[in-house]
Amino acid sequence: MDNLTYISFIAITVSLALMLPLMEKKQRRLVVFMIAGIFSCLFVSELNNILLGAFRGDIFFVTTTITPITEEIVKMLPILFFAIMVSDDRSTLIPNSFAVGVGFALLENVVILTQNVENVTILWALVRGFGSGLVHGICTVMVGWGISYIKKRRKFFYCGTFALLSAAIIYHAIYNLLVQSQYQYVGILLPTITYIPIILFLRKNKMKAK
Amino acid sequence: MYLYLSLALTICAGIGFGYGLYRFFRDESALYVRMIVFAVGCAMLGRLFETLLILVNGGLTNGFHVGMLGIIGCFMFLFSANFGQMDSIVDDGSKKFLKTRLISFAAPLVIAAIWVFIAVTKGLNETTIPLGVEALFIAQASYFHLKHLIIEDVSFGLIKAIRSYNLLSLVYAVLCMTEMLVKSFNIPVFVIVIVNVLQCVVLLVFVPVLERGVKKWTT
Repeated sequence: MDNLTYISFIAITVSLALMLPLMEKKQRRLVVFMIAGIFSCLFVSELNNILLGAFRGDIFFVTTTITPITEEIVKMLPILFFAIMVSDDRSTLIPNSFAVGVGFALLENVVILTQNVENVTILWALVRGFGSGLVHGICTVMVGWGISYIKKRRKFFYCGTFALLSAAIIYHAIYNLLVQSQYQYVGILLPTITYIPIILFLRKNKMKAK
Repeated sequence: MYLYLSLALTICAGIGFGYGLYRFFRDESALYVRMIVFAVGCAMLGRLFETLLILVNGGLTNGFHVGMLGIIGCFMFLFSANFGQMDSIVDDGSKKFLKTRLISFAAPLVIAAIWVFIAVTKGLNETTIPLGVEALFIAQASYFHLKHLIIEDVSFGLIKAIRSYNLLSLVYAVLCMTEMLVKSFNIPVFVIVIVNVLQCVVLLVFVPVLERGVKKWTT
């Protein structure tokens, strides 16, 4: 059998790409960023396999120390490219950042599903959906917020984005650490607990702006 | 014991961060202030990771661990706030402030000296090299904290109002370096407790002290 990661990647991205010509600009951009997130996941999966080998297969160390760094850096790249080449408008960057994160989580979930097809349940799906989906989305949004300063305040951009990237890496590592421990339920709740106040804050700001 | 100390640091940073969110994110406030709140938040995340790692793993891993990014991110936010916004207001780049700029290098030199002492004594290895990276970020932020502490105020009391905050940041930088020193050598337990308690106090009062200074900007 061919590599299941690549099979899943092709099956998902081709369907999404075929939808693009029918969409309007804003929606199309979101789907393109989702595809970018899916591609980032494919790239990271190869990179993480190499790193896992380099660290003698120590999954706990690699998932709590190395993969949060590689994943957050790779997910940041499409946003950075877009901010430099197209627009650094925050109202565009934040949803696009979330789309990259969701795209990343989508392929990651499919890959894990194909690897554990006999053990997965509806509960597993809920946990992965609310857990990893939100974690990847929130972390990419954090970095995207920093990137939005790229053209407005260069000094802020360089230092602030690095600082936000550090925060996103730690947040991601905390999630990875918790879901592998006996406190996995706390890990599953962590993204939801973080997501709700962020959404309320953003909505409040939107209402104020109106 | 490390678990309880780390937990105390997480809680104190969490209270400081929560207070900062409550005070400065309800209404429009300066990005400078928000960056400092984020710095406390980043310190909280780093300490939370360390606490959980001790809880799950029984101790911190040798060498680099993600919790170190908490300190790095915290000082990067502090550096970003001072270098990115405040410095261009208080220092016009003229020769007038040359002496201040030179004296300010004392802070990063002290930070560097502490790390060099650790590196020379323990040798360059998987533990001291990540500590060196951490020290680098602490050093660059400490330069601006000392500079903004001693610089002559020509900006209508802007920098004078937040001198106590800059002093506190400098104290926090020294405490982080002391923690490095303490963890690298077999220093009595009570010293570790004192350093951590002082860090707890600094993380708790960071935002209120800043708030007191920032209030003077508008009065």
